[in-house]
Amino acid sequence: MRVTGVRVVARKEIAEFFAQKKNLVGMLFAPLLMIFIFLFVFPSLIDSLSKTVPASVLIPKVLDMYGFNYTLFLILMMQTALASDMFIAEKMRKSIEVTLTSPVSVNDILIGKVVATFAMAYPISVGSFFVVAVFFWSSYGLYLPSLPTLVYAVSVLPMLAILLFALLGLLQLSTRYYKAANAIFSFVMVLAIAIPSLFIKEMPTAQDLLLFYAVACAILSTVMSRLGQTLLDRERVVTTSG
Amino acid sequence: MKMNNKEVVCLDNVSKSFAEKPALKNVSFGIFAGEILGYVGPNGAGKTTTIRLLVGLLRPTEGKITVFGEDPYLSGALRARIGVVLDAPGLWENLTVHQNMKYFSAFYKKDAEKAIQECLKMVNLDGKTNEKVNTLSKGMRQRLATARALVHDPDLLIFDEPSANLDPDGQREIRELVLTLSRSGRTIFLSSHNLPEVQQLCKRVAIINNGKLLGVLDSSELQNRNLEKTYFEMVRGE
Repeated sequence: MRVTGVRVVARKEIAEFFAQKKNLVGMLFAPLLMIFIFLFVFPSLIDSLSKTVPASVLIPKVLDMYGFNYTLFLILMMQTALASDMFIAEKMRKSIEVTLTSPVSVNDILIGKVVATFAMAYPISVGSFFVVAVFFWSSYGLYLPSLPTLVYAVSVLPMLAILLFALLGLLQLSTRYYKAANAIFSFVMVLAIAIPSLFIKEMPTAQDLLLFYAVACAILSTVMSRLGQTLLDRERVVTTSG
Repeated sequence: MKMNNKEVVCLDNVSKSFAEKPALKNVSFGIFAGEILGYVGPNGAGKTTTIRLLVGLLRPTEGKITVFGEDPYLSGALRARIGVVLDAPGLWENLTVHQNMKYFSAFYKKDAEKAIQECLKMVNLDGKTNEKVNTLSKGMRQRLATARALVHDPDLLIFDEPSANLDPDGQREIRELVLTLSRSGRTIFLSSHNLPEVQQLCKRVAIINNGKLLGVLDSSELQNRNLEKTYFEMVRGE
């Protein structure tokens, strides 16, 4: 890996992102929608639910759910939206081939793009959580993020988001079936986030969630290192373009 | 094939197949330092595959390629000595002309502002630095791709149809640019369908069809024979 190559790719991606206003609108839509729901829809639900469950129990659980599940979900949504421009458009226009005629490797390109999306999506996603947390704290005076949520936000969440986007990038760089790769990735991610909650009768504690995501992170990093060795190949990228 | 110590590029019995379908079959030729070698053939003959092999985007199925004595697929440092204009310009459409040059040159060296300005001037794009690529004409894009290939001052230049999208004025400018670059000592590999242009610019011309090299015409043959006539005789008589 060449640090220069990674840095240039990341800077180029960020410049391309800000060159198109539609990207900014697309990127901010999901977090703004989520903030709207939590600020304007949830309070009425909480008011009705708090007749059976005390607000002091309910609100921390709701915000842990946001902290653990929705921040990741938001990052993934934003990153998946960016991936179409970053990988698919570059392959179709063949600008990725031109980049590969320079000393930059496929690894550098993938890491640069992952760094760029993460640098944009992570602050927005975590920021949206803190907006909601501050609102609930000011309205109910009950909640500040728990320690596991904070640990998750600064350690496991970045790792998980980076690895998942790297996986999506890897799939898109190594196949010509971009749309299928995008669809499969989104579908599997939604299932991975949603299905466990169907089988869990009680909402897991913040510590359990932290452990669950840390294990997922470790498994994913092993899968990625194996896949990367096989799929990150210049010829494969070139022959699956266009 | 014997290696000549003046050869900067050497293809030795190179074959390339895609999913068992051969695109190149036992192709051998060399490019001498400082020369302009033309490469002509019909669509689908294997010209673009050869170029992709030379710049290390593909690896040969059989045979060996060396550029400046190194394998282009494996050596990242070698690619800093090669400039290439591919069949598709492959520009970053949402960025400006200057940003395209800046980010591409940054893969090679930190501060290339002087080189960027010189290269844009060479292709008459110095007045368009702040325009977005998606507002440029096809010809301007082609010229920008050419400027980008020059920005790191490469020793070997590879052109795949450099004048394909250009008007007669643009084609003349590119011909003059190729000659200027050749005079400065650079080695040039020029793949083109424009046979008069190739005859005018090149010292030797390799003709390829159906993945097979039909022959390499040297300068005396090019002086005494009409390339267009020879090309059709070789391609149709294969």
